[in-house]
Amino acid sequence: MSVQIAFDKVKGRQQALSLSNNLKITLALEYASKDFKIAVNEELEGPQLINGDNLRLIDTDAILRYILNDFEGQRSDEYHYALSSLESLFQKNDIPEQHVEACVSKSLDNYLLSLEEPLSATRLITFANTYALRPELVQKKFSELPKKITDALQACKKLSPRS
Amino acid sequence: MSELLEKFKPLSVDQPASLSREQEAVAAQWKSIVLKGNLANDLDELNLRLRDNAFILASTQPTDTDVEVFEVALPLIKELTFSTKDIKATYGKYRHILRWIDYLQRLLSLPESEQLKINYDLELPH
Repeated sequence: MSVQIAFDKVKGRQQALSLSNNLKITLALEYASKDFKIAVNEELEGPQLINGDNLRLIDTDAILRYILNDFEGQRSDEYHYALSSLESLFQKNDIPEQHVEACVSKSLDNYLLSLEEPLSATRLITFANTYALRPELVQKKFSELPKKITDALQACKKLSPRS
Repeated sequence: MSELLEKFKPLSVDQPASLSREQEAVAAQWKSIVLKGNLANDLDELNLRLRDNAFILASTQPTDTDVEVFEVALPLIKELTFSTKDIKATYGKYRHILRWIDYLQRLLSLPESEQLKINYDLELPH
């Protein structure tokens, strides 16, 4: 039985939240370890991962970790920053621009130092959250992104037709 | 480490020797939800998880994950039960979380003033 995965197609969400969720799923597909077959399910309300009756995940950080089989670094400063400072911004409306910029700069200066392969799940999560908030600043810092990330970004773009 | 986790560690609760890949993923999910400050939005999912499992990681004893989530869930559920006009509906909706809170707050010997007072006599809808 294959693992079913569904993208975040929930309407009315903050754009950064959908982008980071879907980027994590496309990254998971790019970086998947070869343990099981993964099928994208278009019917399911996402974001979600289902593995038989045993497992249902609705959190894309956990989905990425599960697919990569990488649970390291959950107690690191980088991971704490990626979740409690960056990802927590996705839930809120009307965050002052300067605050977002300051958080993104801190991420780029202190944590997202390199994108050299092999990339850990923690680093991919930091990347996705930082990119979702300010793609242009991430692009500026890394003129060349690893191929798997470029492919994930392209796959992600196809998911969100411009309205 | 949080105060409750420090209280939990010395209790002689058997921890699973190692976690399966699925348990690791579920632990990562709830850690992520707590760190993002998003548990209030995912209480339904927590209730569902606890409907089918005694503890979050489907273990036979509570783990660190239960304690870390409990710490944030307790004030949220307290707030919901204080502020509701329809206590039966709130109990009905979160009945599995309430069962789990009831167990953990006693296990962790929370002072009575901090515990959620649970009314065991309410007749809940099926």
